[in-house]
Amino acid sequence: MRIPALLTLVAALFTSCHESERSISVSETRELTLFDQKYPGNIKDYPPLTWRRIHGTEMRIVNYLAGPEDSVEIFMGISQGGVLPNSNRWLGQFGKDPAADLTAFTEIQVLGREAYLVEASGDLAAGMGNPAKPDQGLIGFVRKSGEDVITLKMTGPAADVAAQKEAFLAYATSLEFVDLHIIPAP
Amino acid sequence: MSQPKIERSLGQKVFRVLSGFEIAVVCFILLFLLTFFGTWEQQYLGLYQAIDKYFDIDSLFVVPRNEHDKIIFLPLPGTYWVIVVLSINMFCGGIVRMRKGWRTAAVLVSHFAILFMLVAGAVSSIAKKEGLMMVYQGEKSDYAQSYHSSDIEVFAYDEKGDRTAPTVISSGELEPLRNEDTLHVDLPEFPFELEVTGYLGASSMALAKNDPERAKNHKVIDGYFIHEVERSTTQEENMPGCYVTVSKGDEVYELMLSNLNPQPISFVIDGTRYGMLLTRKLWPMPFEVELNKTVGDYYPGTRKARWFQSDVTKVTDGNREDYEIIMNHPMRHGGFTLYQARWDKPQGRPFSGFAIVRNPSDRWPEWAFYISTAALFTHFLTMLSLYIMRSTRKSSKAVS
Repeated sequence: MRIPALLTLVAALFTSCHESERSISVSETRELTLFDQKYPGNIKDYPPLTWRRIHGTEMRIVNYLAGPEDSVEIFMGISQGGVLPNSNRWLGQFGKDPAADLTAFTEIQVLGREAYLVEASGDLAAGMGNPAKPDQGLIGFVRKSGEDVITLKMTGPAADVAAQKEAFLAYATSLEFVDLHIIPAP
Repeated sequence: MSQPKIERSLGQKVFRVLSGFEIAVVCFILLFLLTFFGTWEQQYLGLYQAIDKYFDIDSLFVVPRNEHDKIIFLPLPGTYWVIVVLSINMFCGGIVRMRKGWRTAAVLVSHFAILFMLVAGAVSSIAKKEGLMMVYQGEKSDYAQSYHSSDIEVFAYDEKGDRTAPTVISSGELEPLRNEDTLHVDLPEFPFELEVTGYLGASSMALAKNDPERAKNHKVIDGYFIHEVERSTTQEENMPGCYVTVSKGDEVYELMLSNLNPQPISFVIDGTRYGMLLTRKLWPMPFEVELNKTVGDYYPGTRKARWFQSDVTKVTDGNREDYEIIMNHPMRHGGFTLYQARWDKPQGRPFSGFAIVRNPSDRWPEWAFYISTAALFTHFLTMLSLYIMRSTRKSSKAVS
């Protein structure tokens, strides 16, 4: 009986040696690989230092917070539908009338082709799990990409969004396609 | 007339015990029990956890438990250490103590081979590295990722917006953490410190606005939180998550990391943007694999691949070599072996999953098996020849 008891005690000692608080110093690095050069949607971005990247979702392949108390959200998505329907959907969220055609929007160059800048402000309707909010602003672009569209949208309190407009435009026009993990065509 | 008792020194006595059959028998019984309970626990612990518990070098003792966590047998020594004792016993008894002569030469060689096989297992246990390289058709890769271990990677972005070589907080430091533990991390290369808390080995990530009731009991960061989920017996499916506090003086960032998100999150300190992510351990390869074509098929009515094969180009320092990787026909490079382990075609986009293994003792058991077989065959043949010769001599004596 003594030996099993002793073995149990030894086993218990080995399993109970656990520190709840530890300190370590880490300097081990890893070589860079193609993993480090893969970008969502193959789009490399250059965000301003005042923006902070947070986790994305299925609909937000790139997701940033900016402005006072992270009041402004900037997010990129790839979705279906045309440029005009998406632009009008955004306008509809602010209770604005839909545009008849794309000439209603400012054209900018994004990722090597034309994109359309959508701007709105006012009361934002409830949607996507978010409550309705007064005095909000929107700046975004919609760009055709094959059968899909690439969208970049900035929303938040109207004044905070307006303060980020310049940074947003600089960010949008600096986007570039990078696909180092694709086998180059011969 | 009784034989005079031989006086032995302490060293001789110890050697006799070490080389004795008794130890070998005890080791074999223990190995049987360990294999039995390890296999038994595997059904609810999962393969990885069971191997880790019963066979890992760090397992000095194991306590067999049932699915309700109740102890079902006496504590047993870890398998690794039982095999170490068995190897010492075999070396002392099967090689050093064994009578040496031409009649036992083949047996001696086979003992060497079996010992070599045990050493191969030890080397593999310590030095074997394996990972999975996932490549879509038309793409290339130069890294593999661990099946079940996740590291935290911290890096700075350079002025071109590119990531610099990341500093790695290894899974070895993270996995022992419990939810209530705190790990303080000093990063000499960075102007800030980290504190890892709330580590969960099996977690899910959720948006607080989508699950407000559950979010009330969790720390919500930037609208997200992690919560514990039931641990899967398939370790690959367990996704860790944790909270990280980055601090430099009064500047503090609260972050949440989840293995479910492969993209880094960022923060800015002293005018430099830094990124951080929790991802399956990255293993850079000394070559690139270009997946030119991959084909396969599923079992009828399932999404389980029945067969698959890949045409790849291995690129090393500009040298290009084409390979056809078929099941049981791997590609080898240096000490790396690359097998195709997975195939799928989600949304019409085929990909291959290559299991990459680097094991210095990869072929040792095979060699040991051949040597041992040859040695035992020689031994039996010699014994048979001697027996036949003796029988013939006896018969001829009887005739004369």
